[in-house]
Amino acid sequence: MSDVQGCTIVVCEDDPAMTRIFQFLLRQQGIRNVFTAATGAEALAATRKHKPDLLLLDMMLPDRDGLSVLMDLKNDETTRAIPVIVVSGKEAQNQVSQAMAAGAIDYVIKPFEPMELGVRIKTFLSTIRSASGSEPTAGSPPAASGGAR
Amino acid sequence: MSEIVGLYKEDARRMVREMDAAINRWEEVHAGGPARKDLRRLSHQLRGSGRTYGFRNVTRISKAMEQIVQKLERQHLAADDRTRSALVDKIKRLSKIFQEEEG
Repeated sequence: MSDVQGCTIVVCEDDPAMTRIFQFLLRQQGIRNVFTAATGAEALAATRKHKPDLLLLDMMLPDRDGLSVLMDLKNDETTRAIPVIVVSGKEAQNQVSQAMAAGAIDYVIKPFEPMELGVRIKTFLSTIRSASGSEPTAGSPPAASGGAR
Repeated sequence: MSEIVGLYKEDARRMVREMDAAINRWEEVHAGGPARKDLRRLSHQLRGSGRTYGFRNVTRISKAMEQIVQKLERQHLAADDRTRSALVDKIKRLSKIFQEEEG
């Protein structure tokens, strides 16, 4: 049994093809609690409702910029501690820097190698579980101080 | 992975058809209207998903398209026949990739 099986993930992505691959990758890692959002507004609502162990956030959304979603989450004390991995096609260094400065723990540039991302997510979730010494508690992982690109 | 690649190909064919429809509204592309936004969004999405699903050439062609549209937006490129032809050529190449995959 996977040690991250009980984790909850919110995926915010407006491209159905990418949403499908995230769901596939997470299922492969044994993660069943996956909620999807196709807009920034949906991402905020889903994150506030489900208090996930991890949010995967696209930057280019139909209703608003992903960076502003990230900033809203980090300015809200009920969602501030939720780790966010940005998965974006925006590859300019200033985009990466802005997202990391706003509190993202990692920035993955699309296109990516699917299996590699799956393993990175699982490793991250296992790490926070080990750090907390128990099942990942939705919305209350240890605060992350940064992340490798 | 193969179980979702088939669905991706269906999505990609639809997106290429939408690109084709957008390029046929060249006046909108020229004026920065919805057709240009569609081209930008679709090329951006295909660039991101192509190689992720194993279609490296889709990412390469879509990236070139996205760069052309970005240059149009920044007015670094004229919305003339040459630009239109370059975009049409790339849409045809994308279409061919997924037609071959279908066959």
